[in-house]
This record gives sequence, C-alpha cells and structure tokens, in this order.
Amino acid sequence: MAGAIPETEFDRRLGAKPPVHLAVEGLRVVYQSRRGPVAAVDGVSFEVRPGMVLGLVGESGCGKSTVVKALMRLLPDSARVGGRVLLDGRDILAMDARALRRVRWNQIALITQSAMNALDPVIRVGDQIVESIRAHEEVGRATAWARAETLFALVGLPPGRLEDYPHQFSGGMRQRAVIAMALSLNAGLLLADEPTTALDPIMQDQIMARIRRIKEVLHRSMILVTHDVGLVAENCDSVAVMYAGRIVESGPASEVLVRPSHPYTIGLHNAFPRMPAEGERRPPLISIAGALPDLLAPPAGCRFAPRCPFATDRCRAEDPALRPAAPGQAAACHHAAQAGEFRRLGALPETWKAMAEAVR
Amino acid sequence: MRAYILRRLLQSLVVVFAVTTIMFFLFRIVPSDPTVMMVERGMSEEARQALLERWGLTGSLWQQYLRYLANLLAGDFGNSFFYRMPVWDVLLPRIVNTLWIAVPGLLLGALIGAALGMAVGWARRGGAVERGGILIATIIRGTPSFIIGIALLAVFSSWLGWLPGFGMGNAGDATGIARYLRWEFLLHLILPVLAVVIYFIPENLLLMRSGVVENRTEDYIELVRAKGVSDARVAWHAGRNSMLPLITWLFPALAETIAGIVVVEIVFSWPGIGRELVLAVTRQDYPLAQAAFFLLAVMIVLANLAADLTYGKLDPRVVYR
Repeated sequence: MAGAIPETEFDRRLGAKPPVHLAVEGLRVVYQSRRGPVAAVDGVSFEVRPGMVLGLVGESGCGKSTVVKALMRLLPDSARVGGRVLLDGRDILAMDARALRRVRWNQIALITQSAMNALDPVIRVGDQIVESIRAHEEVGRATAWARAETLFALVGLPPGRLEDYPHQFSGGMRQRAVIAMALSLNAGLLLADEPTTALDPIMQDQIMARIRRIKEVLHRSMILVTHDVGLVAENCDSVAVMYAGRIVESGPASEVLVRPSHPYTIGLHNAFPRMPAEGERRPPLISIAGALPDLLAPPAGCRFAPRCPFATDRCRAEDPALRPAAPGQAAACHHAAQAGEFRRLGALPETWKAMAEAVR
Repeated sequence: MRAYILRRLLQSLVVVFAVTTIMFFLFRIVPSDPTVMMVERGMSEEARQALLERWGLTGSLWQQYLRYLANLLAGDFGNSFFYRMPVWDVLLPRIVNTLWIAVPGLLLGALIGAALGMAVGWARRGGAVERGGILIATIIRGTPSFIIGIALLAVFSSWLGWLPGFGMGNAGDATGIARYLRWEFLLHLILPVLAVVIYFIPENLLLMRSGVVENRTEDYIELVRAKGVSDARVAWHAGRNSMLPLITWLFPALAETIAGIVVVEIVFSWPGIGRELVLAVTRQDYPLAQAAFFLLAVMIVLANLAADLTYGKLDPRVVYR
C-alpha cells in the first residue's frame, strides 16, 4: 500500500513502538457554569487493552468528546478534572507540563471531529505534519518530510499534495490528512473523535475502511468516539455506552450490540437502520423521545428513568451502579435481569410511543 | 496577478487625480489672497501683475487648474511662495528627515505592539496581564500624541538630561548621507522615534489581541496543543492567523499615522514633511501644500495596494482576480 514511497529507517524505528494500555478510573469533569457546577463526565471508568478498539457511543452532549479531551488534558483551565487516566500505568492527570507534552502525540494522538477547521489554514499541510514530528523527535526537516510522504501514501493521498494548504483539499482529503498527522509518531493510542461525522456516506465508508486497515497494519490501541452504532459494530472490539456523563453499559461489542442489557442501549439499537435478514421485514426505526437531563440538576434516581419505558419507582429514587449483567458485560440498570423482556418490548414502536406521549 | 496589479495601479491613478483636483480647488475656495504675503505694500499694480504672472496666479481658475495639471504631469510641482524655490527642493530633504523617525518608529511600534498583543491575547482570560494590558493600551491610545511627546521631553530631556529633545543637532558643513551618520544626530533621533513607537503600539496591540483571542478557541489550536508542541509555539499559530486582519489595517494606518507624526515633529522641532505641511497651509503656500498632500495621497494609495498584496502572501486562501 505504501506504493512508490519507500519506507525509511525513521519509519521502521517508529513502527516498532508497541501499542499502549489505557485504564481510566473514576474520571470526572466538572465545568463551572454561570448557574453552578456541571458534571459533564461523572465517574467514568473503562479500559483499552493493547491493540484493541473501544467504541464510545452516546448521543450528542452525553460527554463522550469531553472524555476524549480529558484524556489528553485539552480541556479549558476552567474545567476541573478528577480521577485517574493511566497510560501504561502512568497517570496522565498527575503529570507536569513537560511530561504531558512528551506524552501528547508521542503516545496518544488525536483524530479530531471537524476536519474542516482542524488544520491551521495558513500553513502547508506537510509542514503541519512535520511540526508534529519535530516537536518530539530530533530529526531534520527532510527526514520528517519523508515520513509525511510515507503517511500520505498510507492514507491514500498523493505525497505531492503535502505542499498544499488545507483549503485546497476536499473534506474527505482533509480528514485523511488529519489521520496521516495522527499517525506521524505512531502513537500507541489513537483517539478518533467522530472521524466521519462531517462526511457523506461514501466518504465515511472510505475513511472507516482506511482506519480499519491502519488498525490491522499498525496494531494500535484505539478509542472510536461516535454516535453511530453501525460504526461500532464494524470497527470495535468492545463498547462503552454513555448517557448523561456516565457509562450505562459496557462489554464486548458483539455482546452489547446484539444483546443489550440497558434500556438506553436497546433504544439506541432500535434507532439505527439495519439491513433486514433474509425473508425478514425491515425493522421499524424507533426514536427515544425526550432529551438528555439537565446536568445542573440531574434526576434523583437513574438518569435515564425520565425517558425509559420500563422505569419503576425504584428507578426514579435510587441511582443504579454499573454491575455485571452478563458474562463480560456490565449495565447500570436495576432491572438488568429482565433485559430479555425489555429487548422484546423495546423492538415494538408502541412501547416508546407511549413514553413519547408521557414525556410530552 | 499581473493583471490585478495593473488594474489596481490604474484605479490608484484615478484616486490620486481626484485628490489632486479636490486639493487644488479647496485651497482656492478659501476666502483669502495668497498675494498678500508676497506683494509688498505700496507695490505698483504693474509689478504686482508681473509677480502674479510669475507665480501662475493669472487667468481664470480653470486655466490655472489646467496649467497646474500640465506642469504636474511634467513632474513640475512649481515653486514655493514662501521659500521662493522649487517645491521639490524644499520637500525632498524634509521627506528624508521624516522617514528617519517614521520608518523605525512605525516598524518598531508594529512589531512590539503585535508581540505584546499576542502575549496579552494568550494570557489567561480575565487575568492581570489581560486586564492590565488592555487598560494601559487604552489609556495610551486615548492620550493625544503631543502629551506623549511632551512627557518624554520632560523626563528624558529636561529632568534626567540624558537625551536632546530639539531638532537634529548641528550638522556643520556635512552633506549627503554624512549629515545623518553622526552620533549627535542619532541621539536626537531617539526621543521622537520613541514617541512614534509609543503612539503606534496600542492599536497594534489591541488588534492583535482580539485576533488571538478569537483564534485561540479555534479547532486547529486544540489540535496543535494535542501535538505536544511548546506553549509558545501554540501561541505562534494563533498569532500567525491573527496577522491577517492586522496587515489590512497596518499599511493604510502607516500612511494615516502621518497625522500623529506631524505632532511629534512639532513637539520635537523636527524639520520633517509633516511640520512643513502645517506651516505651508498656514502660510497659504499653495504649491508646497498641494505637493505635500499629493505625496500623502500617493503614499496612502500605495500603502493600500501593498496591504492587499501582502495579504495574499500571508493567507494562501486569498486569490487575486
């Protein structure tokens, strides 16, 4: 795939970097708003094993992008961040500025959400990649540029386009360039924050194929942040579903997506279009009525209870913890034992429609 | 690109022509008689006529105007009523004098202002650096430039006695470049240049700051931070992007700042073109004043053109059509 671009000594050296292990423990991010503190992320824990891909899913505003930014400490100074982010055992949140600077891009790289404005508009794309390399490696410009050429070939862009400015690229090309930049030091962990959100479906597919290929060839640990359950199914080993700043369900992607235990995951599952199986009718698309709760004054019990068709009095009074629900799977639901029944009822539009009327 | 420059030059020509015309008639609408100054009391009518003819003040206004234009095209600005010598000979050395304080003053002011603006823009929002920076810049900006000049004179010249404050020092019989390459001249240069620098910093600072503040929340800045480059390098990205609006403003401002330099020249008795311009107007020395305004118009027009061209160099997204 590298085509006419030969792999350099520098490429080989970076290629030998191992993927990293990430453990997030009790991550909490509190923003100071004018009306009081808001816990955008409230006690989130998960793990990414070396070379594995974790899908972080949830609707807009659930806090998934805040988690990603917290992992790299990119949040504004006004946000208070608690908990631990252990990268191969070292806590990123406890690092001084120097150590943090070395970890960034060297060990964690970011593929950002909006490839439109992710690149500096007045600097050549190649120079922006070179900048990321030379911030960490004592190499000359020529070596770094050769590395950038290898990376462009890897993401399927003509190396000559390194000379161009971001505005000379199409949206899809910019996204590829951002991916190439994220790979510049072959960081052990890639954070892909909605890498395809701004693209049309064909381009989305191409980019995701590219990312899958990178995962196979480079064997990186990765977190894929998305609201698209389909992308998770195609690309992730494990999945964590976020709702209102918390993880409500987690486990192997194959399990969580096929047999969800939490009513929210069941709802998400039914809200996405799927190809029907042979001879089966296309399942109806069902939306979850209502909106995320106000995090200034979160509901007393389960945060999903106001939108949940199966909520009981206990749900509205008592906050459920994330507990094992099935082998390898955890859900934050008091009634996870009834998950089979919920899945059956959740597939019926009437179940959610009644809820929609109640919410209204 | 070439077609663009050509078209802009043609447009500039039209602007300069219009300014020249307006200037010509403006001076003549003023209800006063320039001959009063030249014609001595008791002079015979014939002698007066001869004088007027010599100075090109006979015939209708239109005839005078056409004659003026024809001379201008030939590069002849006429003779100064007051100095009784060609306008160009009066202006040229004064332009050079002005450039000595204007170029370093404006350049340093722009550089220091932009650098400070970047620092203030990058500082914590609502912090002491930001508040203090904006406050000081606003105060200086609101201060008339003659007060800055007088304050500098009072402190460094009168009180401390470190630096000379008036004129350019005695050049003796030195001519040409030797007139300027004197230690004494350089000492005389410091305070007026400093006054121009101080006068010019605040606007640069405030513009740069607002650019940086706007840019620091852009997505690309977040990615630059994520790359793990130094904080100064991140600030540089924001500054680099903030230079675009600054440049648009800077070049025309350079020309317009002549107004500020006039005051500096007067305060420091610096024999520059700005001071000469004011004197020429009060003396009703039409040829001199018109030539000076003509030069100013040319400068402002060229500065605008330079700004547009520099903009394309700084921002790859700009295309010339």
